[in-house]
Amino acid sequence: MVDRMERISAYLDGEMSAEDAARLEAEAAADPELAAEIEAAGALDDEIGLAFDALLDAPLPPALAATVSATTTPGTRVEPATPTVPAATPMGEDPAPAPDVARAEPGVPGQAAVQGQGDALPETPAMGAIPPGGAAPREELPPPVFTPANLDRRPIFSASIAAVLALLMVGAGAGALLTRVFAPGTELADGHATRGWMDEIADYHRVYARQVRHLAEVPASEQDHIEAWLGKETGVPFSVPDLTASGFTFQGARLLVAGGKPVAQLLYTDAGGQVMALCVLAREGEATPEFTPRSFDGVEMVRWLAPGAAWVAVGEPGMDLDAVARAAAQEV
Amino acid sequence: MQPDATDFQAELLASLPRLRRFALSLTRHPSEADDLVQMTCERAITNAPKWNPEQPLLPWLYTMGRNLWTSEMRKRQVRTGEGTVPAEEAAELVSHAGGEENTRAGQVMAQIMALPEGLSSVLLLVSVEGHSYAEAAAILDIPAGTVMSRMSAARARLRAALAGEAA
Repeated sequence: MVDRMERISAYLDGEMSAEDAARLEAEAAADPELAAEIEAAGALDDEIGLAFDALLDAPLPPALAATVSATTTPGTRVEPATPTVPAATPMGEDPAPAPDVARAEPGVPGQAAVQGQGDALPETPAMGAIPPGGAAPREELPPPVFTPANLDRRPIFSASIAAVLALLMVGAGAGALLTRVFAPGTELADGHATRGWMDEIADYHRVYARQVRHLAEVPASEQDHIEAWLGKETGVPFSVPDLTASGFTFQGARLLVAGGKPVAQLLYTDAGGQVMALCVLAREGEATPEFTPRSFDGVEMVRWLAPGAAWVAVGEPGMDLDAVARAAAQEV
Repeated sequence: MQPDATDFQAELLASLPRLRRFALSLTRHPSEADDLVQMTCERAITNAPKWNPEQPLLPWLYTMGRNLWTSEMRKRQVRTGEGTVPAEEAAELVSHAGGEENTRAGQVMAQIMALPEGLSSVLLLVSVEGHSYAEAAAILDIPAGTVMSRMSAARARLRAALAGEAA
C-alpha cells in the first residue's frame, strides 16, 4: 500500500525514470482504481499548493519587525529618533515609505524603523558575528539561546532587518486568506468581524501563558527600555506597575497586535508560576470609573478605561484580577 | 563589498514570505516560525559576504533556517527530554490562532500543520516549490530515500485526514 503511494508520489514528483513512469501509466490504463488514485493525489497536490500559497499573502506582523528593532541590548539600542537604518529601498519603493507602513495607524510598530532613509549600509556585516559565550567556528552553530530577547544584538543589522520587514508589510496585501494562521489578532477574514481585540488578547494569553521559557520578548531587567519602547509603539505612555504587593512579579513585556493596533503586554507571574498580563492599547475617549470583568473561554479579564487608553488585566480563573486591576490602575 | 549589500537586501526582502512559509512548515507553530525567520535573517545578514550571488538565495536561507531549527530541537531534547510540539497541539494552536477554519485552504493547512514532524517541510519543498528529492534532501539534511517515504506518507495521511473531514 505504502509502496503504491510511493510510486504515485515519485510519478507526480517527476522522480521516476521514463521506463518506470511508462509502466505506471500502462498499469493505470488497465486499472481504473489506480488511475483514480493518481488523479486524486494530483488533485490533493493542487489543494496543498493553494493552501501553502495562501500563506505567502499573509502580511508580516508588525511585531516581527518591532521585535527585531526593539530587542537590542541596552547601551547598543537603536534609537528610532536618530536611526542608523540603511536605505531600505531595494524594491524600488518610494524612499519615504513610512506613511504607507503606518497604514493610518499612528505609532504602528516598524514605522520608526524606516524613518530616516538614506544612510549607507554598513560595510562590515561580519562584525559581532560570533555570539557571546560560544566562539562559533562553524556557521551552523546557533546563538546560545533561541529567544530573540536573549541574543546579542547588532543594532545596525537589527535595524536593517526591521526596515526590510517593515517594507515588506507595504507590499503585502491586507485581507489575506490565511493572515490569521500567522498573525492571530490582525485583520480577520469574513465571519470574524465580531471578534474584538479582547478576544485576540485572550488568544495571545492562551499561547503565551504556556511559553514559560519564552514568556517575554524583553526581560524585566530592561524596564526603562520597555516603558520607552512600548510607550512609543502603542502611543500610551505608562510606567510598569509594581504589583508585588498583589503577589505578582514583573517578568518582562511583549508587543502584540490586537484590533489592528499595537498592544503592550506586560507579563507577571504569581508565586505558583501562573501568568498574569496587563495589556494596554490606545483608544479615543475619557476615563470611566468601572472595572469590568469578562470571561473568554478559560481566560479571565478585567478592563478599565483610562484617558486615551484601554487597559486589561488578563489571567487565569481564580486570580483576583479586580484587585490587580485596581492596584495597577493606581500605578500606570 | 562582496556581494553587493543592496542586492543582498533586495533578495532577502523578496525571499521573506517564502522563508516564513518554510519556517512554519518546520516549526508548525506561527510564533516560533516568526522567531525562526528573525534568527535566520540575522544569521543571513551576518553571513552575507559568504553568499555567492551566482547561487539562488532561497535554498541558502532554507538551509540556514533548518540548521537553526535542528539545533533548537536538539537543545530542547537535552533540556526537557521533549522534541517539537506534538502534532495534536500544533493543530490546536493553528485552530486557536485562526478561530474557525472556514475555508477549504484553511482546513487543508490545518491538516498539513497536524502532520507528524518532518512531513510538512518535505511536502512544501517538493510538491509546492518543485524541488527535486535530492534538493529537498540537501536542504533538510536527510537522505533522498527519506524524502520519498515522507512525501508518500504525507500524501497518504492528508488524503485520509481530508476524506475524514469531508465525511
